[in-house]
Amino acid sequence: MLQHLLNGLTVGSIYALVALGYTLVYGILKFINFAHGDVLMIGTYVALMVFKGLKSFIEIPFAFGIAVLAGMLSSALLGVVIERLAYRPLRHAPRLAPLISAIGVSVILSNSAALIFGTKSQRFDMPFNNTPIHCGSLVVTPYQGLILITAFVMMALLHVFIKTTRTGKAMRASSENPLVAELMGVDTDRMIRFTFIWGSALGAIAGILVSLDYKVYPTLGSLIGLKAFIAAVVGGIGNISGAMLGGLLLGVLETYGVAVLGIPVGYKDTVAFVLLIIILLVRPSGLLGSNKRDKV
Amino acid sequence: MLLVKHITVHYGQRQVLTDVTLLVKPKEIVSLIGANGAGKTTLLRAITGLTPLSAGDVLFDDVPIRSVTFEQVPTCRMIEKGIGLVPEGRGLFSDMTVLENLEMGAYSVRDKQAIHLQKKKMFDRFPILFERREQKAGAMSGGEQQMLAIARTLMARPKLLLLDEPGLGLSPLMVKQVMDIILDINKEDGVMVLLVEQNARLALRHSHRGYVLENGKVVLSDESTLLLKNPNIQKAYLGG
Repeated sequence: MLQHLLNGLTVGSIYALVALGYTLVYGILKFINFAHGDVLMIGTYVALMVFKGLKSFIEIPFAFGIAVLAGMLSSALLGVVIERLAYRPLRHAPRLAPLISAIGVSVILSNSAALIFGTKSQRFDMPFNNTPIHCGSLVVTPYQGLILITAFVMMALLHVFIKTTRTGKAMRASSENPLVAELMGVDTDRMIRFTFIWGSALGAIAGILVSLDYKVYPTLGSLIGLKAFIAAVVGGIGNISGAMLGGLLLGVLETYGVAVLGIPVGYKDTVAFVLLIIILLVRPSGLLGSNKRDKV
Repeated sequence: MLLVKHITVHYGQRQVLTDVTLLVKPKEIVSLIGANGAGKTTLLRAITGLTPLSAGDVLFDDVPIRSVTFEQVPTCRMIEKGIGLVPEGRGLFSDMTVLENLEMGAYSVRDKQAIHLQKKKMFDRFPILFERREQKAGAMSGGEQQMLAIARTLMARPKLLLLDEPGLGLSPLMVKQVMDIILDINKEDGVMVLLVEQNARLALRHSHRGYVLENGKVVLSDESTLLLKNPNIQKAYLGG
């Protein structure tokens, strides 16, 4: 049982990292950035290219560290550029417009990736000693450890940033009432930029972490993006702790669904959708979402 | 000094303000009265840049801040210029604590020492906020929320305070308290006040001068004491 919990948390922490990207942007702009999955895919590719280019020259851990930073930076930059070009001009348009724009950006990004990097999946091929470590009855692979530690450290950092710093507070204020925040002197455009930087960089980390154990391909962002979106909605979209909780919960439930309830592995993804349907029926605002009724 | 010069504002095709001119002189409390939908809130939104002008301009201390022809000061720079707005319905950050709300009010202030002093001053003036400092702003009563909304805007030490219906939804006793605080702030710190109120009697009793807005036009302006005695005003706004 404990083993499944650990495995579930590993998957879940990836979902949580990506879900944060959706929820941060939704919190302030009230729209779902459907290009988020593709932004993190591009970051993952950049990391892969940098890693491949560097690994024969410098030591592997250094090369990997630089690759991760490059991936985060490029995703963050891409996120900011997309916001400027595809979303900001539509800020005062009807709510459907930026949504359609996001879907368009998503298609452009995944097809560009296929053109530039090819449709064949690639691997990081990290010479990494991945022999499982036995810890009592628990088995942990170093990859799992890396994922868990990185994800939790990043989430803790974001939490501290949002709760204690001046900019973090301004981000929260802008997401609750952007006009009043402006009256207090907050430049909301700057806050929006911050959410795209944070969200995209966290997404890139998640993309890289998954690909270490799997592979990199142009549609990498769509399924993980969809799952993370569900996690964000389950936790209460717009709520930062909710995204973390929703992600972890989804990971754990998926793992338990396969391992304990005996759901065939091929149907694993249905768990997420069933969970989404149940939450939408029982508690439409999500687990930690406020019960304020949104006027639509 | 705030000078609103011949401004006109449209919402889509509809003209909401027509050629409005208004002045707030140093150390003055000016009230703006009028019925629902007369354009009072729109005027405050136009001054702070939340709604664009179609004609005219707004000057603060002789510097143009809103205009059709010049580059305008963006809303997020208004507080640095010294103009603070307490919005209708208070607009508190209800998921944040009282203390965090006050800190947000001082967002534009870089000097930590000044923020600390101002915070102390606000807690002296509003002891209830000190008691409630760790509580979520949304969990307080209406009167306490109004106090917090005013205190939050005062954190940045504005030269001009714009108040949009501060008495709305409060008990008469609470309204009196809020009004006394506004008088205090004006007297002690010399803060100019532009007070928008539906309750005309209340507003005129607590201000030096008043403007009457009807269908987006200024129809009358005078000393508040004279407006209170004006038979037309008495009939239309003071219940006979």
